[in-house]
Amino acid sequence: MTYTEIEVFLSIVTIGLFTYLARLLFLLYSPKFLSNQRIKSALDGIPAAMLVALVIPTTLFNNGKVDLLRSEVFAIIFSVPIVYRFRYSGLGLISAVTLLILLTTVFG
Amino acid sequence: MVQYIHEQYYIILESVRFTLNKLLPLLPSILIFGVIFGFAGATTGYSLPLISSMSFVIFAGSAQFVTVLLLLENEPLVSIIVTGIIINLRHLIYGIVIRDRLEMTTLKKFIVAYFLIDESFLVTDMAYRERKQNPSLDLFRVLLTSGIILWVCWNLSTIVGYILFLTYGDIFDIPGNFIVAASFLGFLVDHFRKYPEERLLITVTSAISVILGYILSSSALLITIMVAGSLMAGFMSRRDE
Repeated sequence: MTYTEIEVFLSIVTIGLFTYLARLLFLLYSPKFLSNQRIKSALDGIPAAMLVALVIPTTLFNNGKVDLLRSEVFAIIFSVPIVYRFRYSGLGLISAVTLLILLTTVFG
Repeated sequence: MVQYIHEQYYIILESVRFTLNKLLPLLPSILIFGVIFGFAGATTGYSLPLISSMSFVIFAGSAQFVTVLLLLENEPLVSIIVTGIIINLRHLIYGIVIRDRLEMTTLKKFIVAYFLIDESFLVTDMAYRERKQNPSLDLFRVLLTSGIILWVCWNLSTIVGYILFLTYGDIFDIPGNFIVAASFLGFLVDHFRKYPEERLLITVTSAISVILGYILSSSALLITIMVAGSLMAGFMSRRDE
């Protein structure tokens, strides 16, 4: 441990404070340009983009390089038709983890 | 008066029911992720109250993971603070979207700001879209309920993870990134199936994320993809007009 607990705690409080302010800023203050209809349409695209950003790179990349021949990638890919067929979002985690365990058990 | 109370009761009930329904698929991943975080935190050698304080002060998984990682690598505290803040800058965008969709008093804004994380933002977005069919959904209550449930699960699982490390040592070999991808996969597929008008957006942003994945770190990629996605959605609406 390089730092004392107090030093680390103060760092945590600083990050926490800025995080809270980042969440609060545009809830309190709305710049005029945000009332534009085109801007509103643009904001509607954010949830889909966020889902892509959370799933695609974390699946395909390993240490900054595309690495497709991993059990994790196959587990995610094979889970897609399962989730699509049964129309239940929670199946994503269940099927992917089950498949990953199966694949690592069979292929090592 | 009685009818008003009855209506309010129905709105609360509907909002909580919707939140639980949408949040349930996410909870296993939150719990697993929280346990892994507590576990990773314990490996730094810092005390449980300190590691646990990250979960209730910062309350943002990715920033917490990076903080622990940088502490393990003995990075300067200033770098740790700056990195943690930059990763959480995406919450600025959540604030913009939520403000546009939800009218609240200032006090309520101060309260929900603390609970505005990736998952509660996602559930509130679902409620916003669902409200066209179910007007009794109250977005403030959805955001608050989901935030509180997530906060409790995240903090408890952090403590459990820390204790697991002290008790059993190194037992996890499932990568944290895989848990994140698997958790949100169902929502991405569901989004793709439910909203045909956003399929092009999802396809193009996926391609962009693959290209940019070579040159950007995960936090920079997350922010860039969200900005690219919103620009494209704006461009598509202009084309539709």
